[in-house]
Amino acid sequence: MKELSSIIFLTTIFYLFIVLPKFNFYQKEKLFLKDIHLYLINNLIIFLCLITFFSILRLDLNIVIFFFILLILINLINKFNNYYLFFKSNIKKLLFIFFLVFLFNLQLSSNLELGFDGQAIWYEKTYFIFKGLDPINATMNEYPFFGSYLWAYFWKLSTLDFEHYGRFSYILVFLITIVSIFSIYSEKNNIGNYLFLSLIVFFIFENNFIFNGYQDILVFTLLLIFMHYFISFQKNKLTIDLVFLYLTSFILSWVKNEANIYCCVLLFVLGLIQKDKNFLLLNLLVVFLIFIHKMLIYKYYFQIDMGLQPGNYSIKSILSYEFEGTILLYILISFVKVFFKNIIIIIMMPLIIFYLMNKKIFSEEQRKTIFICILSFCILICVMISFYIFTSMPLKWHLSTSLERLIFQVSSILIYPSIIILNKLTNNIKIN
Amino acid sequence: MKVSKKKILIITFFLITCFFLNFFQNMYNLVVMNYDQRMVKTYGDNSEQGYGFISRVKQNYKLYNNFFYYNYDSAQPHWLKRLNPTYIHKLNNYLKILKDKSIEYLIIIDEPYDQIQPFIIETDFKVLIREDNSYLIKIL
Repeated sequence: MKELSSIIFLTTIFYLFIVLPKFNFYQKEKLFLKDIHLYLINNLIIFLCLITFFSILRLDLNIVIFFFILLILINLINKFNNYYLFFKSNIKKLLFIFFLVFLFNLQLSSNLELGFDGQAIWYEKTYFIFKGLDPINATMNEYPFFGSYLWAYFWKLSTLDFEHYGRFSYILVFLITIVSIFSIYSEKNNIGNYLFLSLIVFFIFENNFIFNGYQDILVFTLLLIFMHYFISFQKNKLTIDLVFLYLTSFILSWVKNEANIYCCVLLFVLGLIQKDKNFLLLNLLVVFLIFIHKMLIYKYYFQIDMGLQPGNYSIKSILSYEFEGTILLYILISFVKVFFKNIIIIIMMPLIIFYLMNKKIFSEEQRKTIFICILSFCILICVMISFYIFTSMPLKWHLSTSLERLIFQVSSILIYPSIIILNKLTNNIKIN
Repeated sequence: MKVSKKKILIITFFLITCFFLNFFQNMYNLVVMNYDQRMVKTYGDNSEQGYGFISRVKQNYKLYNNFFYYNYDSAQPHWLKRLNPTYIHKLNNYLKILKDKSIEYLIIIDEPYDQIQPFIIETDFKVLIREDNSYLIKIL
């Protein structure tokens, strides 16, 4: 019972910690009264961005906790009335997310298993940060450690000596994002989208992606947010969306090395789509900065050489690569096999057929969004294929240990076209 | 008393979600088992990573930075981090073990006795505790 009460208590504290505002500009716009889900996502990005920044500085966790408590208190004292209104008018939506977070936290506390990399790599980094040691001295020092910093931060915040409380943060980040995105994009009372959301939540719950200490759930979630700002900027051309898009890219590049490549590729695509030379140049500059800043920080601040996977990829091995058709075929077949294990892709397939058959019923804007998302997904799949083509590890082993996780990471992009098509499909069924 | 359709729908949704997300099973686990019992369930007693075995050994022997940990799976359990063991991946390489004077014990997890018997005979180490296929060995 003691454990159960600490789970309830910590879930509440952590939830409030993430949900409560980090900066005042929401109050000016009163965004949280207009659209709570948009507010939740923006607030989450600011929080994660600050955590990323502190993780690069390798700041002591006690200072970070003190900083955030102070920040929240200042915001609350400033305009307490607004927050009272915020909770009063959105209590049902907030409780729904809280309820899901609590169920996930129960599952995590009941099954404490960490995956292989979770134990060998990510936990070790977390342990170093938690103990106030330098994470650069932990194993695999060329891997970024934002996820471990987040884990260690919530572990410290819990004031209890159980590492799994730190992993609650991954659940919070994921569930706040997925519920918010569905609320923003799906039409009201659309049963198709409720079912789709339930299936995704259940799929992730069952596949252990969120509980085993791996970072893939963070990449999945942040790519989902990235695409939200991508679509939003494409639609409204607001500078604030672009700023949040770049901030999300910055966070993504500190979660995993491959995520850095994903966001650079997608930002490049955004630049090409805009057909504006000035924007293309600015975007190219940002892409370059996002790609290079990590290497520079590693080299001159951490004083270690960074590589994607130094034991696996080298310029020499890539240049001396000889093309073999059978290997490419083997990789492609493996990809197709894994596609059929991913519920988002499985659901997307018939929806795409419906879309192609009824293209006319979609607006120009919707068609553009669907096209961009599918194009982005295909480009990222091509990037992944290149990872496996140039691997110097045994291909079969490499595919078996990572492919499912990599495809899971990028499958989040397909959620947007699925929601748009499901909105139309459900409406069509209602009319008929 | 009249119950609205909306309320019935919400309660049904609530129950279905609880069922599919293992609410009842997890509540039972958390009420009935404490943290150590759940760790034993996950990482094994005398098998897998040997969480239960090492927890019992810890009660009677001081284990910190003074023991080798050997497991056939080559696992480096995260929960052992605080005890700071030295991991060995080959049991036959006992000369390395003998050289390290600061280390007093060798813990072997989930290894059949006939596999380690030649090693014990050759090194003349003393088996202090044996539970199923897990051993605490004093390095002499």
